[in-house]
Amino acid sequence: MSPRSVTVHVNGVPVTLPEGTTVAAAIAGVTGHFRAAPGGAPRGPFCGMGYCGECRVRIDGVIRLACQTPVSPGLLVETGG
Amino acid sequence: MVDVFDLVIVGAGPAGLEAARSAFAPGRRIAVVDDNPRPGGQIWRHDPTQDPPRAFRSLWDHLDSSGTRFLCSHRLVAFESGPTLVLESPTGTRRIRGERLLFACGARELFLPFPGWTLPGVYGAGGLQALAKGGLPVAGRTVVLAGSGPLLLASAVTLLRHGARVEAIIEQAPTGEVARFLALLPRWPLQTLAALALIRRLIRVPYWRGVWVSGARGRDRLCEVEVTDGRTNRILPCEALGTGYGLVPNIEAPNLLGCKLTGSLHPAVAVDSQGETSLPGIYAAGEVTGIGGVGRARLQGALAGVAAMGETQRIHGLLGRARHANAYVGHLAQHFRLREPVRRLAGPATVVCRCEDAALGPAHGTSPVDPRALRLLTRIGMGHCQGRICLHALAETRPEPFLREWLARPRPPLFPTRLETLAGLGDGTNPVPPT
Repeated sequence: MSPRSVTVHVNGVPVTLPEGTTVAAAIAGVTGHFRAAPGGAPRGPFCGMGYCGECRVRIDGVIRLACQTPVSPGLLVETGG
Repeated sequence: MVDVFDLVIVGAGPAGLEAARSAFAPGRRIAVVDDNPRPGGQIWRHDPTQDPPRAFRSLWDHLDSSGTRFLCSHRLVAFESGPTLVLESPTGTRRIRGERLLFACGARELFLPFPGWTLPGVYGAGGLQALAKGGLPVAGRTVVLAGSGPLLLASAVTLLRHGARVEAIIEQAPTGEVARFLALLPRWPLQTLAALALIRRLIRVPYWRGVWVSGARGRDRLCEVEVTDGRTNRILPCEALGTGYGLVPNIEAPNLLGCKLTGSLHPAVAVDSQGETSLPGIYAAGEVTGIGGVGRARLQGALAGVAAMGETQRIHGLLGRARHANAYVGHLAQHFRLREPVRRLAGPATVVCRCEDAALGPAHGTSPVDPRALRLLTRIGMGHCQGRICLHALAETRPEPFLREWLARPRPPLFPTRLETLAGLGDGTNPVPPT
């Protein structure tokens, strides 16, 4: 049984991936730069388990952890903040 | 409004799910809270491309039809009197209370900073495994896994299954220690079978012992790592590095409530032989009580589940097995203990606090046992992760009171929360006075 596909938008780019995957996976298909550290350097997901905060991005306008957010149809994701 | 249950379990991994199953009886109200979107914890984390692990499936088949309430994507952020648990979900805040409370909140990786560890492409070892299960594209990518302990092997197997090219597994423990670990492993048959299953799938992956990653390099993304044995270095090109030096218990929630801790360097929650903490009616099971793997976590969960429900006649059969499983904690810690050089890989310019981008250098000017001064002067430990990463890393090079001081004064919230959640919290003080 193959999972259904879901399309989300990452910085305006449509990304399609299987249901049950995470927003972190969707972003990684577009950019490795999830957020900017206070000193400006790019950061990407790190702990993968929801506590380091390195993957936090704006999802439908709200800052959330990409690694703990499942993809759902039409999500609008903005990175780099 | 507060929903009241007979038992509330925090954590839906192996310990929490076993506890839910063993505590179940018709008519009993049980809730399981987890901040992940699905149950399973770290080791049984959902992977849409794979069949769920057999052990998880059989537990889940039972629980799914049991009426047990699963509150996934709900993160415990604070306690109010009762203790009532304040949970935050993507859609709001809710409050629940249990006549009994059981912490099965697992463990996280111990990360030791080294130059370049903040580059995108550097992940936790278990972190990369978790991300790959969540769909992070790794197929065809060159990956190095480095650090210490059996999790490196488990992560390698997952990554191979997802099509990654695992270049090498870099274990800091010397060959002799790894050999001694394996020689005594048969005392724990389940762990032995698990180890053999991993090794069988990793026949073609180089497993280097007595070496560690001393640096990661790349412009905006990782492109190579430096591997050393302390004398000679070599460069390994790679697109991803998964690094982790074992696990530390997630003690923040039980510690905030006032449960006593045990152990010196990275403390665990202290429990009696049946899983009860220093606070009556409050239990803990699994990795939060010490790092001993899935087999021990399941046993402890089953034990604490029946103990919490007062079914003492069902406890005795489990006690002996749980004691034996506990001995594995020491076995693991002894043979994968960290060597001095890996604790001191960070230079003065190396970022130790990822959240605040704070380098190690200024920390040297503060008292080695005063975490408050460290935070105020350097901002280390002031960020999003609330010191879960950097303070444990620093503890490796500081006297023991450093982390103990830090943990002696916990404050809510347990995680960054939305303002409306904060505004709705009670008086913000610890609801259960320390005993």
